[in-house]
Amino acid sequence: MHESRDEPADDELLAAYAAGDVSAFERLFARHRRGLYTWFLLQCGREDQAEDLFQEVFLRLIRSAAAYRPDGQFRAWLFTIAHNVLTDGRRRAGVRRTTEDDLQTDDSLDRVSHTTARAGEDDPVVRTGAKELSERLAQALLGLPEEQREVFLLRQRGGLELAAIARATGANLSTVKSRLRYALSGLRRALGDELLLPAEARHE
Amino acid sequence: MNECDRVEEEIVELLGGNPSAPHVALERHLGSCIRCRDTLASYRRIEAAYRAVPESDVSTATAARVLAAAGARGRCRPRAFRRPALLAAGLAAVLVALALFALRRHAEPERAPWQRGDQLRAAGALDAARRAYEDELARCSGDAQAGALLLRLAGLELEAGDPSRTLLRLVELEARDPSSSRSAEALELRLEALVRSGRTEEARTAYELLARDFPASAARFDLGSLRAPAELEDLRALGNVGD
Repeated sequence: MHESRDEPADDELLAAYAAGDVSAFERLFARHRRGLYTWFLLQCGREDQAEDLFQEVFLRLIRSAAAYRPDGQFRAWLFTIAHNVLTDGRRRAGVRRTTEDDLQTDDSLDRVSHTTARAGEDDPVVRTGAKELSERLAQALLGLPEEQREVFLLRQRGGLELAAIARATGANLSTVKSRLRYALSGLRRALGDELLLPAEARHE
Repeated sequence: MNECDRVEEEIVELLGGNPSAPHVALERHLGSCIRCRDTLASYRRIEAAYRAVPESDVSTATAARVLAAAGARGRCRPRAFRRPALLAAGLAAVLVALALFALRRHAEPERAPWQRGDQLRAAGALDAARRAYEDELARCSGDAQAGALLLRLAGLELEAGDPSRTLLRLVELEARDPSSSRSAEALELRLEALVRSGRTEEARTAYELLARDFPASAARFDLGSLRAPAELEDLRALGNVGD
């Protein structure tokens, strides 16, 4: 995810793996594992489901590595697979929308909250603010319709531009824009402008 | 659909990272509409808030299964998983390194909020620099710091070859830190963005403003290097410009 100029590009690593270099796959995996797993975790809110979906993405990638045509769009390809896996999972009814009741007992989302809270541990104002914000972020996200949530996360966590999101999800560009627009306005309503201010300003 | 609805759609396109058509109408609207400026600011804060959610990691067991599957299709087995003791030693080393890094970071003097973005920009990682600046912008509560970050973002957009986004950043700057928006740096950025956008008349006005308030900057400004259109040739005569 954070390629520097000196490191091989994703396309190069995948091509090397397709040619038999397993260490190239290990590097590729290390580069993308956290981002992809977090994407699934934010999508479905459950660790067990996120792990299953995550594993399936990489298994499909491994099987189709030789068929990948290097075009500098590895991330878009990765998240296209992720979208397909997510869709298949929903179709099998193996991924259910997590309700707010589930959130109160769901340890996996607590991990998101607590990790963010630890980032500001020294400052009680920041700690309270960070924990509160991360809980509200998770809740707000899961309150969105699935299609809007997916587009939003493909943009924010996947880093895909709208045209790439349209290709990955099979929706047309105007639909993707609408979904992103409704996602942003929905999140804004759910979170409230005050909550999004810096912690110090919120507690003045 | 009213004007603000249409502008909101354009804001979403802007945030969506689409290659931008010139956002002239958006820029002008934002200059006069507090509601839409607030919408843009809120959406940017939402983006920054979600980008700041730390990444979680998949379980060791799942990672091991994936790597085993990858190894089964390759020539070699994954090296690190042949010897659990070696893996344990490696993990211990990583934990120690992380602890040392955390301690060192705690001891480091406080750095300016734009420092990380400046480093990334210097390394040519413009997208990462943009995210770094935007994340800091979402966190900072002081107008002066926000102004400094917005100036950097405006400069970065120009460097990225998108003068229309530079002008949008300068609109945000004017709303957030009006005094910075009247600085020599801001006026120079605005002038360059207008020239690159082919907005000749506005560029002329911007140059005259720069020349009035910061004559030395105007004299140094190299219109020639921007291949300014013929309509701006006469500006060269106002000072030692472009020669």
